[in-house]
Amino acid sequence: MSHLKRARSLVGGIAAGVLALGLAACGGGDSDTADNGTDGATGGETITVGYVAVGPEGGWRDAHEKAIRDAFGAESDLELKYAPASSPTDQRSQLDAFAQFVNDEVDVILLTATEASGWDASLELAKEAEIPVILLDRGVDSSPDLYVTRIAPDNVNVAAQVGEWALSVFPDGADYYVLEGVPGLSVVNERNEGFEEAISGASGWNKVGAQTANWSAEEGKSVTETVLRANNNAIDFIFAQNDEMGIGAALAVREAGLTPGEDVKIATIDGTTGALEALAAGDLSFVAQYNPFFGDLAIDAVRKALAGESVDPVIIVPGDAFDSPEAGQAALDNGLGF
Amino acid sequence: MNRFKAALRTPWFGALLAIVVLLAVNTIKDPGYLAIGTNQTTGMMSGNLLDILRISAPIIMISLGMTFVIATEGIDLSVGSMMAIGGAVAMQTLSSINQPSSVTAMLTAIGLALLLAFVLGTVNGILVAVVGLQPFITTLVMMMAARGIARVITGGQNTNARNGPFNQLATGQILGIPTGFVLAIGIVVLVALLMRRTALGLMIESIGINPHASRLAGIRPRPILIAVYALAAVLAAIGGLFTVAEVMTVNPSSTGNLMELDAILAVVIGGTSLAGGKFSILGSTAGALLIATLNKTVVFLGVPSAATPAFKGVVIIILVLLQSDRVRSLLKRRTKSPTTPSTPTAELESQEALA
Amino acid sequence: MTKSSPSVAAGSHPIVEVKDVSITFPGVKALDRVSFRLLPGEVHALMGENGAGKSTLIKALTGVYEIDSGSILIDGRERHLTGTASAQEAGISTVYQEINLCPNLSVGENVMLGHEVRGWAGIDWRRTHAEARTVLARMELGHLDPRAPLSSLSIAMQQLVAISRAMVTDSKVLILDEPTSSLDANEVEVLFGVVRRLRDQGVAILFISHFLDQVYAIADRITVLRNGQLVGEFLVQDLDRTQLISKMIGKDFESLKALGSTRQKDMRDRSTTPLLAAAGLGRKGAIDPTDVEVHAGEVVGFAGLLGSGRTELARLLAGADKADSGAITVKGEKAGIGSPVAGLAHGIAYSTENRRDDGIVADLSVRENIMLALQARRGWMRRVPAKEVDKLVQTYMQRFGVRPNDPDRPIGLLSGGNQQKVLLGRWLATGPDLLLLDEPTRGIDVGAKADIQETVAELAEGGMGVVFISSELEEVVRLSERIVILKDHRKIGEVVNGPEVSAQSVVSIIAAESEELAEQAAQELASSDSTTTDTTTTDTTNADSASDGRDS
Repeated sequence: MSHLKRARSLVGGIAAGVLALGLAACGGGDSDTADNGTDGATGGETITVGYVAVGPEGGWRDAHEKAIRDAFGAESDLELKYAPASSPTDQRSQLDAFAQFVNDEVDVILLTATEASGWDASLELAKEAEIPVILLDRGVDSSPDLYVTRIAPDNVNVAAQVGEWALSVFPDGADYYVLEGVPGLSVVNERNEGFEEAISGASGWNKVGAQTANWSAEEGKSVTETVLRANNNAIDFIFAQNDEMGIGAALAVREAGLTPGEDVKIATIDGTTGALEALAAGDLSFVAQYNPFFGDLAIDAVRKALAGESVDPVIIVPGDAFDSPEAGQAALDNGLGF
Repeated sequence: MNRFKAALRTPWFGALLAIVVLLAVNTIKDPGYLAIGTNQTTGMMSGNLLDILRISAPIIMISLGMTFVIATEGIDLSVGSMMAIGGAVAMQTLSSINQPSSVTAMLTAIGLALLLAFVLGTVNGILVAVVGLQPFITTLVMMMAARGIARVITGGQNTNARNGPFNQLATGQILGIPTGFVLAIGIVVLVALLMRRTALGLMIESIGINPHASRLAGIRPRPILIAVYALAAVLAAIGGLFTVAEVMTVNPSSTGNLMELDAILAVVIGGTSLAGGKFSILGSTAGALLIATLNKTVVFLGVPSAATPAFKGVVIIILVLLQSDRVRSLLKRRTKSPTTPSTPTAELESQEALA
Repeated sequence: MTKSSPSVAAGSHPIVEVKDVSITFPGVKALDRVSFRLLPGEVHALMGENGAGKSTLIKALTGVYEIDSGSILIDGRERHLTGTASAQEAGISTVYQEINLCPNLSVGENVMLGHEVRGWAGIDWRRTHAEARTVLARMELGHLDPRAPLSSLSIAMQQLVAISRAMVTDSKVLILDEPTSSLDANEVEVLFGVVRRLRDQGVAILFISHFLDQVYAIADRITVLRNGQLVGEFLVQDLDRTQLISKMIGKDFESLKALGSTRQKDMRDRSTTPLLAAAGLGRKGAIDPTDVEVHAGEVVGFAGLLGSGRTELARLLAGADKADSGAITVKGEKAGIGSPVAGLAHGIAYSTENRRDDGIVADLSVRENIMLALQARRGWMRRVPAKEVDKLVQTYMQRFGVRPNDPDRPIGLLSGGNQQKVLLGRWLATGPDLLLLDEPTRGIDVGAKADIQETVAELAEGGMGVVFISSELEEVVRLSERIVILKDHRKIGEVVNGPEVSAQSVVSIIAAESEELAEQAAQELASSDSTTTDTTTTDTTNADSASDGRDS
């Protein structure tokens, strides 16, 4: 009985907590967007852009959202209303913020959805209000009629860059190994697909194996270490699907008494600061950036949409790739890491 | 023969047997698998066995802490996040001190990491022992909270640092044996002495088997429970230190992620019942070594990524089945049946084997 | 005593008939070919000690347990009850001791739960509450506002609401399981008023209570169970309390009388400072404030039926439970005993009545079980040296003849008697001044029983104070110098043992209808040199425990 009571009070406590969070989230959404209602109504020349964002989630996301805000901030006739979700998985607060923007009659809405589904009603509301919606990075599963365009880097493309680089470095082919991310994610499949498409048809390419290292440096190191032993160091090239696994792999290569970049070349995707540093130090040989910096593309799309010009339904963000220590250092100096 | 039979019945025997089988399979694939030699370039001893020992260090640490929590009929789901805490505090400290060869910097980093883990573990203990929350709920909340704290410490970024002595914790060797493993075994021995030379182990078991009777016998459950959760957190943080020392970088989202499951598995494989009670430190250590061996075997054999969890699952299920009394007695009967079709004596013998 | 005439018409047709029902749980025959009948318009008391099978029988009637053999006839038709719903459909409603209503709903919602009046758009709350009002009015609870939250009512009123709820379905049978355990005397009267009214309306009422006085106040007939078997069915006027108790505990009246004590008249000088003295020690719902003293070298028996408060009192003395009133002095000094640790620190050891759940640590060895309490006294840092442990283990295993003679065997594999001996060893190893033994001989064989009784006598001889609790009154009478008698969660008297005291005379004190009579009986018995103390309060019942917890 006392157990039951305790459990009940605990559940009550959690419920109260959740409720409080929910209220706080609603409150946050309101206050974020309330002040721009008046602005939007009076704005004759300034274009008000509502930005339904994810908020602090990690390196890439932070860099990306900062880039968008900086880019819009630099344009004098654009005013960006930034509305991050109350947590990176809280769709509710995003829906509320979106509705508020529609209500306030902003000119354009930028949306990075926390979840792909559940946006139909909101998007229809915006369409009725004749507010164009532009998706940044993440897509939604609603009909493409409901939004103007989706601007995003493309995993297949980025991975293809790795493949093309590999073809140029190993014209006669290579024995290679793939360090994969968490199994089952679409990113993992897309990055595999892009790389394999690029090298398909070329001769001499021997895939020794692939294993997940769960996006983490220590597992990347552990897997690489054993792969090298199992194959008597006969690995020419390692494709790590993210930077960290590649950095771990480089450590394993060094500890096996080999030299990364000479005995084993390692290519990674993402382009974090850590990877660019490792590239500059010669541990990595190639880093393809999954480009977070596309404020210009977004501004371009916004202007076109408002001017009534046609916009491609999908805009792929081209990414830079860095293939030498010098390029890595230069990228760092230009602040391209994140 | 009798001694062999007795060994056969110990919980950790199955784990050791499974390790031997896995090593044998690897050796069949590559006869040189077990060889240990000196790496010409680095001058270090190297070999698959040493790799297994090295990566087992963090698993041994979290399994050790989990053993006592489970013995009290509890569970600690926050050990994985405690690893992230340990790693995050250490990396952040080392990177802000930024003295690549300073032993003092290393000791400061370790001290701060263990201190924070101790505080969080004590919070777990107080919530369970004093407030009376369920261990599952308490540590589930802590699992999320601690990872959040790790993110706050590192500002949400991967943090890397340079510190030679700290890096040696994972990559160094003592007489050819990986330093991390030597340290881990040293800690296991220390904790085992703490448990068995004092009455702490007995009291933990007593509380786990029968909390009411233990209370009436004058054992104070609260301080013991708090100590057990604090110890589990500190050991998990040590595991986190070993992990980040490997690569000198911490990712607050992925370091130690899902490691609590490995720890629980190692403890159960080692023969400590999830229902609490008698614990086996040796068993948990053997269980941790088995998990390390399994992780390495999957890569060595080239099991496809998608099939890896299934492969691990099958091995562990077979092992746990073999440990179950019922399956054991069934197997016994089966092997006897051709000659003596389930006579009463055969029945009796298998009964005895259970006792 | 306000007893209305039993309205049981001779030969009236039973509404419930249980025939030769058996229910077996693994290892226990909970009901063994029990027959039982319940007539319309009667209040029928079901009596028996804990574990006698009362709860099992109720659960069979409410469909919670399936019966293994026999049959249950309701209104003359054989019924196969598969759950509370099917029992309710058959017209049987139950109100349990723990009121299972929803305190956050309104009175009306609680009464009508599951029977709400439906309108065109879901539940029609106005009509539902109106309906609730009529149901309540039938119970003469018309003054209650159906829209008030249930939690605003007293426990007694909630109990009545629970009964009202049971009557919504027009039940023909109402089972009241310990309905009065949390009510005070006035509230009990209100409840009984309602019960009588329902009886007069022809409802058959099955009444289960630990309180003898209440049974005699309300019941028309009594069925007694013991050890899962039917002892008999009696009209209340044919069975006096002494007879009822002897039927419940299974000693026939004459043999109880014959078992006189041969013990010499006690000559102890009790003017010295007692080893332990409790003044006004009590805990709400467990035991009313009680005074009790134990001197060094004395065996004090606690006598009373199960649920009388004897275990509860012992637990307060040992610190197993925390008292909420009164004080304990040990050797003349005030002692705060709020935990077993504190109890042991003051030299008080308590051996529980529930050996399996509160005594042994099953997977630990005999050796570890013996050293456990001593080790706890020393603290975890200072492990008791192996030599000392070996000596203790050898001493106690030999002294009590623990079989098998293997200190490393897990105690769970020993027989009950041997477990008890090991536990005795555990407590003696702490060197206590006062040993509280709660049912130390229950469920163990005759030989072990004699060993333990002998040990108790020896220990007292050696200067230890012993409190001895047992359901077997003869045993208490044989061993004790003084007997504290408890009933309905209070101490009703205390007799100094002597040749004229017997199990039967103790039973007659327990059975006495009221306090004055109990006092009288005790005084008659004790004549000149025996003392009778009595506790202060006069309102009878104020307790909410004494549940049938162990009665599976």
